[in-house]
Amino acid sequence: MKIAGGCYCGGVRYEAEGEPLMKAQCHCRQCQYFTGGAVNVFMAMPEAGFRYTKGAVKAYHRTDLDIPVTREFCPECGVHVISRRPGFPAAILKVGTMDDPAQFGMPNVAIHTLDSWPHHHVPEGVMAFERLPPRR
Amino acid sequence: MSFVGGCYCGAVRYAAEGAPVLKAQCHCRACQHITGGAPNYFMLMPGQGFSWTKGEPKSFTRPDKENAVTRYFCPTCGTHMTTQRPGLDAVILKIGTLDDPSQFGSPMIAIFTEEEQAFHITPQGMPKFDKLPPSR
Repeated sequence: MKIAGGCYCGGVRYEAEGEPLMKAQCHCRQCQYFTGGAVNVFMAMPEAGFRYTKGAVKAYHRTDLDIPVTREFCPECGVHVISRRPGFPAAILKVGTMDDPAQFGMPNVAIHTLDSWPHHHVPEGVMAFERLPPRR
Repeated sequence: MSFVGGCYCGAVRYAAEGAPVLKAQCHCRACQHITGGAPNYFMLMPGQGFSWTKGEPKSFTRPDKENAVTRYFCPTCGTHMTTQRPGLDAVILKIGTLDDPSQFGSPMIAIFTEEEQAFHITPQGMPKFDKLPPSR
């Protein structure tokens, strides 16, 4: 699978190649800040197949957490493009930044549903987990 | 009604007083970039009741569009908080940035559903509009 995308203003562009490691929607309170309140719809792509092809992102991570995720966004239009999680070799891609979000299809799981609001919905047939799925 | 909120990192804070003029979810492609793919959940608040109480947001306006909206986000963590539309006094508030998003309740309508993605959900019974509701 080959994906191209970028931020809203076009200042930052990326490409991602490989098979998705995870397709999900996250309901957690942290994600809600970045989505404007909705669920965060994401696709984890192999980090090795991901690269920026235009522009430079700004990175943000919390300094008060032991193992914080890093969130990368366009400094011009503020659009968040990916997150990176220590120990998970993936670029966690925000589906809304893909040139063709239909490539995403549907999420396989919904996570952190403990933090859901009434306006959050899980598509029929999608497995929901209060936190993360149990490790295999 | 009184609302307070801010970005994820805490650098930018706001206060909004008054009764919401509209509570909605927007499915348009532009909103999808900002939200990460999901619908954009927002509340229209009276302009005169809104103020920034800490820090200063960065703004982005598309230079290639007439009557382009202006979007305000935190320059440090990239959280989008508000949008302003030329000719509209109200501030368009992203409800994920409220200290207490439960104050939002539920959206009244869904707009720009002609641009919705397969993974978007509109609750049964909610009025849906391809673009905007007709003006009164």
